[in-house]
Amino acid sequence: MTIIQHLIDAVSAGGIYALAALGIGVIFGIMGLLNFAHGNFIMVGAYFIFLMSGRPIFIVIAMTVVVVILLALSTDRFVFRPLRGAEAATLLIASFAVGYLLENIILVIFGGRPKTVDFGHGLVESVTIGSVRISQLDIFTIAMTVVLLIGLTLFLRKTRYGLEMRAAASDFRMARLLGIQANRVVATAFAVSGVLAAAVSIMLVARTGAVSHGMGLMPLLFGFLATLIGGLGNLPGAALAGFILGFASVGFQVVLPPDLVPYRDAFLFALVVIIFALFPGGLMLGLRRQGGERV
Amino acid sequence: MLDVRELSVDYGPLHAVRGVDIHVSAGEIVCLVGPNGAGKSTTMLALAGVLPLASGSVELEGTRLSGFSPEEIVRRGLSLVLEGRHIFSDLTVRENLSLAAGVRGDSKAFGRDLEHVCKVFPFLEERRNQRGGTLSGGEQQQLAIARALLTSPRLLVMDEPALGLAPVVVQQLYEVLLDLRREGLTMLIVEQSMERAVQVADRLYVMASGRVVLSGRSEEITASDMKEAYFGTKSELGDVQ
Repeated sequence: MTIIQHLIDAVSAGGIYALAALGIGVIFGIMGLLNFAHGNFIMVGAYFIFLMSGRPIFIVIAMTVVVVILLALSTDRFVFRPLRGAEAATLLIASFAVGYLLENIILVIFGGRPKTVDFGHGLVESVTIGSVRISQLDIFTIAMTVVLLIGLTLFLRKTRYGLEMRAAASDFRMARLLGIQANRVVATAFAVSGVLAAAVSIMLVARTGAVSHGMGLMPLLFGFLATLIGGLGNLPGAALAGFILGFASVGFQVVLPPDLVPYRDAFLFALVVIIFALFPGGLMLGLRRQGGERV
Repeated sequence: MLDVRELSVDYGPLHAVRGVDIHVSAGEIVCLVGPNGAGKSTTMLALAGVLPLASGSVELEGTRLSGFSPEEIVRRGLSLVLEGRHIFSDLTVRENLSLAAGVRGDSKAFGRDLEHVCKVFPFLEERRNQRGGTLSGGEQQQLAIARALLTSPRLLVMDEPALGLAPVVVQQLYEVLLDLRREGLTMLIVEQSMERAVQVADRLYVMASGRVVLSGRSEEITASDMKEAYFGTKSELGDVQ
């Protein structure tokens, strides 16, 4: 039965990485931008939960989602829209600047010490099914991941905005030549990215019960790795790679001797290096690209 | 219908297109021909708003197009089919087509037009759920044209629609384009083949080194004029057959 618990842990951790990767991937797919501010969106969402702590959980969740969406949309409107058409390096540096600004605003307001948060304390209890004990936190995380993955899939497949985003991610110039509004598509991508960042904020705060100004770094790093492993711009690939990282992370936690467990992430990154050495374009890039010119 | 005056486009310090004048009247097919690097595709991209103009103006039926974004220009009635088709390969045929609905306010009119293009290109209906990337090159080109038609253009601009297609497919494609012209569609086409351009176009513009070096009605331009415009003076090349 232990293996089932490990699997649940892996799915739970992988879900967080997958959502972080999708938040990064959805912006990259449209703009070709690796948004380094995404980790700071997650961090700001977490601090908002800290401010709202004690209030009913569903209100906190809804408000956090709204706040992070507004933050993401503002970033697009006031930072990236004026830079539309700029080179990728310019956008990348701008995203660093946004992230640095957000982190320092948080430092000025809340200081550098981590804060404990009263959020989701009811989720610490476990549910026993047969001989398997599953924490409500894992159930919450997995359920939220599943809902968001299904929701994102339906949004991309079944809505006009989703169709426009898929077209723009495939060929932005051609999409514009068909009358698709560039600003609207990019704003939609930022809004989706904001929802995903807020979800990661909620999950992290629920799991750790604390917030800190550096808490966005690890999901950002794992999100980037998953985005790269999945093949840049390939959303299903990014989600799958997020779960692969989650499974690998829990796998190392289980199989490594106790003395080496503190170095688990080093083994994980070594695995990532091996994956990149074997598949430089990402695991699923080949599935995404079109088959070239045909006569 | 289309009036392009003194159009110039720069790539940084490079003057890619200089002082180009093009006029297209309603119902015409006008072809833009010239050797590789002549500036034809750059001109098309500038007309559609993809590239900024260094100078000059573009007007469609008296409405200024220059200075507007590609999405605004397609709403003003100029639709560009890019060289190389640019089908959204992961989207189905139907999804590719429905993207054009965004520029249309009237969904009923879009539905009628969708029905019409499916009659013009019957495979579109049969393969509506097939991914665009799985179509043959000729089918992709037809899908690209159908998609552009669904934006309800007053002027359809095509950049080398025959590129990379088998001769029999090219012939079928141009038969469809001539049918569309008979229905009243105005077209500006970039064409590599001088012979084909002379056959289908009412008027021709020949570009070389970023300039229009020859223009006129197709029947008035002789092969000798064309070769001279393409390759330089006759005295330089002698009798090119």
